[in-house]
Amino acid sequence: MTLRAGVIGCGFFAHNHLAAWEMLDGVTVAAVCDLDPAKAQWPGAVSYADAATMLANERLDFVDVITTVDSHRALVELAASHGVAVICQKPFALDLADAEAMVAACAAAAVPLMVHENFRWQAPLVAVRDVIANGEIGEPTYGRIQFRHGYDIYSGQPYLRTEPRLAIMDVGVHLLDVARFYLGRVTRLHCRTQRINPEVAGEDAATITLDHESGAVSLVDVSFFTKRHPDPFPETIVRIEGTAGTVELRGGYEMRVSGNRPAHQTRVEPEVPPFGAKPWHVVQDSVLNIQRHWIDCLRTGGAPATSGADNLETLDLVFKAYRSAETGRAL
Amino acid sequence: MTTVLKGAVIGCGFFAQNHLRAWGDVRGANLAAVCDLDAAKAEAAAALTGATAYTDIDAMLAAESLDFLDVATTMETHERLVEKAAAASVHVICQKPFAPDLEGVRRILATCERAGIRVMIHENFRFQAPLIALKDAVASIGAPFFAHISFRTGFDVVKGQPYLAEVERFIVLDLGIHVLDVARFLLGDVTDLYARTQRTMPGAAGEAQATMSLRHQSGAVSEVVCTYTNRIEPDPFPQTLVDVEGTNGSLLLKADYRLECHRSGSMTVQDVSPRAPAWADPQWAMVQESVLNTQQHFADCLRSGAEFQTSGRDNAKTFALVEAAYASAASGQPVVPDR
Repeated sequence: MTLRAGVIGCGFFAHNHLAAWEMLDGVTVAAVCDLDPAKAQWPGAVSYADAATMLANERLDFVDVITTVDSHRALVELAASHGVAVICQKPFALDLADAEAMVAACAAAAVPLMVHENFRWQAPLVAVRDVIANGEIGEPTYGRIQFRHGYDIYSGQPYLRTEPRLAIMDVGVHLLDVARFYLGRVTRLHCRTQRINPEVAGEDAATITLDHESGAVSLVDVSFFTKRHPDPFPETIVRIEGTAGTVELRGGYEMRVSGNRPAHQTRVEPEVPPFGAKPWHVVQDSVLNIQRHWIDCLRTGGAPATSGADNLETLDLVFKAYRSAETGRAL
Repeated sequence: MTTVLKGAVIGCGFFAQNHLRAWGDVRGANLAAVCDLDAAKAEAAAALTGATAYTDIDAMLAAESLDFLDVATTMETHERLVEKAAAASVHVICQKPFAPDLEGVRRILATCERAGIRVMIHENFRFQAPLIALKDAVASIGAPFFAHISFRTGFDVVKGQPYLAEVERFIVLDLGIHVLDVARFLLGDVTDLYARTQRTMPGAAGEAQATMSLRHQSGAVSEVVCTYTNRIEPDPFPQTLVDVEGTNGSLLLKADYRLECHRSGSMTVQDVSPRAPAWADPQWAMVQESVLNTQQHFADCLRSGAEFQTSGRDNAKTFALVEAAYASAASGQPVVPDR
């Protein structure tokens, strides 16, 4: 049986979602919804300007919420009230109370809830996870996860200029999720933020230090004002050290593993999806991967890797990062 | 002082071999004496340098008329030896760490001030060719706002210096002190510091890994990271690798003395290899050259009266970062370093 999807929010990034649904077997986009009727267009899908009307009229298996963060709670609760499963874009919520309310609403309605946290599904980052998991570098003790670039993110997403919470909310959230993915639960966090670009309202650089339950320590750092040639955007640069070796993503889609055994390099560049283009392919491929995972979960009844409940832990780190930066205290 | 300075080295152990050889190349200074409790080491140093061997510092200070003393002994002995130099009105260059704690550093500085002698710390990292070149280039990238300064190695430091396995304060005091000095050198004074330490070396009593986050007075942020337990191939030891980001460009000091200057749309590469002294061992050339540069700076400043870059007073600020790091690691909170 083909799953029927409703997409809410048809802006900049939503086209990747829509094109990915189009490519996947066993799913069809039955309806699309956007406040702007000109944007609510997709071949074969019914157009709506209002999500409540869409959910009332359509028989949907799930909705894919691709709106800005302030609208998430109302939309997720609306879907849950119709007994419809939900994928919600990141950042999931502006505070932990909203996030917990959404998780509770979906649990009460017994519908699956997944946060579209796609970094864990990026091919290079998955490859690093596999190296850690197979024990090649021993017990991890240190990590650095960085996303530093000077790519103009503001022309595609102009609202980012005025966001009071910028770098951690937009990208830090992904990196903190990756830090959890690699090194496990976080027990202590310290954060410094900086506003380098005078033309943006929020922080465009952040430096976060994490203690993990395992004893490992990691650094997570992000900057939107870093001059590099070639610009690594949108690649995440990673170094994880363990008791037996080191795994590195140094950019250019080369993964390097060395230590007790001789160094070896692996190419970890994903294919460019038919709807994609470089340099976005690593992100677009991850969208395809996470949406495929969602379909699998709906069919098998399994819990999504980045379920709403799991994402509460990542979000907790995001809010603690802001609080740490404001107070100058580790939390 | 326009005449050639006369100096002595006290402590003729592992690292002192570099000092002894470097004095042979320093312009404007000669070694008159060498001293070690171990007569065999003192004799070997005398044979190497042509200076007179002593096993007793009092005898040396009484017999020789010295302009300076180069203290290359272990940290615990520094205070006592500097007191003797002060009593004899002999200027001092002293190995790092200056003292086990900041209180000790301040006592030694007070002793030197009372005696009117000058004191410089043998803090050689900022005299390394790649870091000198990096510092020169920082002026070209606009306002620096971020740096990542890394010294991560698996080199067996305990083998050459077995006492390091016993010390409570391990990597931050032994190596972090250099890397923190580089952070000050590149981005200026530090307003607060957050540190995590890990005991990652089996058999070592102290921490072999430290991860530090610094806020500088300018508003810049830096990450200072060091470890002695990284398994990586090739191992960059003994190079410090640095990224500095400014509002107009970024500088990447990479392994093999490659300095990259990035701007939006362009990148240039500079070779910043050291010029090895004739006596250098290829693996240690950069460090050995920096020892020579450090000692030349000391001799030049003694002769000209100019301020030492790494004066005792300046180095007390670096030492305050070491103390702050240990305090932060213990409390789990950022610490404002003593000024």
